[in-house]
Amino acid sequence: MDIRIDNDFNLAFNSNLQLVDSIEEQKQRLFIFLKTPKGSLFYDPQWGLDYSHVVKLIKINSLAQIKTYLFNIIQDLKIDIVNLDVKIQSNTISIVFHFPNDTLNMEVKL
Amino acid sequence: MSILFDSDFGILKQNIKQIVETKRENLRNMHRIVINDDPTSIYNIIATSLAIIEEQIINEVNILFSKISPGGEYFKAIEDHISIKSTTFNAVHKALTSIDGIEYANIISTAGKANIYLILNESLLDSTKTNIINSDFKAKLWETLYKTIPSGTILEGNINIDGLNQQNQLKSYKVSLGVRKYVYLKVKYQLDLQNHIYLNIDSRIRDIYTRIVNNNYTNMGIKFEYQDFFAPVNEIKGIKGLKIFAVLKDDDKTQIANINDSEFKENQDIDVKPEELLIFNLADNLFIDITS
Repeated sequence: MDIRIDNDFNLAFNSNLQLVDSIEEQKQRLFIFLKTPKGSLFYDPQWGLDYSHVVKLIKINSLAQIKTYLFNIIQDLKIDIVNLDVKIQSNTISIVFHFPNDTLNMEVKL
Repeated sequence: MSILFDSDFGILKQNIKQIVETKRENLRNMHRIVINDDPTSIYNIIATSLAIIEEQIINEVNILFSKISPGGEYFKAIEDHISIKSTTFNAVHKALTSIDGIEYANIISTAGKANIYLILNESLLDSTKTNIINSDFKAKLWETLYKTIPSGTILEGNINIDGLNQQNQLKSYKVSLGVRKYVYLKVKYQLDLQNHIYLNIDSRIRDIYTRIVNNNYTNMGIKFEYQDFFAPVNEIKGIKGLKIFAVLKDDDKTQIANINDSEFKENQDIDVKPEELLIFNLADNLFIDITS
């Protein structure tokens, strides 16, 4: 369980703070991880997406390695996804995480 | 449930991790909201950020409490401030007797004038016992007087205590040395029944007098009241009456046996000046006798 936030990291309010649970929470957890650059949490500096690592992988156009990196993250975060799509177009990488009945999209530009 | 305060232990000393854990435990117990110990959680991000401030507050409050608790830095400062700058008789007396070397003090004041009498440890005095030779002690005494004596009060006495204040102004005070007066006592008691055996009357009278002296004659300027010494009539069964003979001497070098009976005053109070302190030596200078 966690407090629910929207895509701009605003807390969801409905007379009180709203909570998020199960798949929704997993999605939020992944979302927060992907939006947190590694080293930005003072109490856990190892935690967060290693952007420079991802950028390196994009530069060498290694789709397989990017996928492996993302799967590792998903395993660490204990998230149940069905599938994972990664596309690299010019300088942009777009990632789609397939949850049961839901998706989470992400784009990283160089 | 309180995170900062505990009614039994006061302020709880906790670090950031402990604070966040306590909060999660609170949520779980009170609201059944289970949040894992996981940096991914937005709750943990928020709670940890707040806990940084809370930890600082806890630390500051703990420091504050340690300062204001008895013996703490702030407590001591307030104590000094109140006691040394207060000018009641009690405060001045306390300030004076807390100086190392002052054994007894008495303050007599009339409008605008005051006499301070001190009985000092003899090591601070010169050979004639009339002057203070220890300059450290004089400096401490001056500081206490400077902080306790209201301006406009003239001190009278025969010893000058001079000093410069922070503005380099000369402030001088006067004090007098107190005088020790030695009490020689003769007690003659009368018994109810001549043939009864009474044990240890002598030592029981000495015990009663020790108690009376410790209770009643503890400071300077207390006059000798012969009725204080009638207590054995009441407390020891078999004593019918007492006669109290007393004389004061300036030193204790005379033996009680060598003092002429005519010097003793029978059943009379003896006046004591404010600068005088009565000293009883109930071992050597008390003579107890039976009379028929």
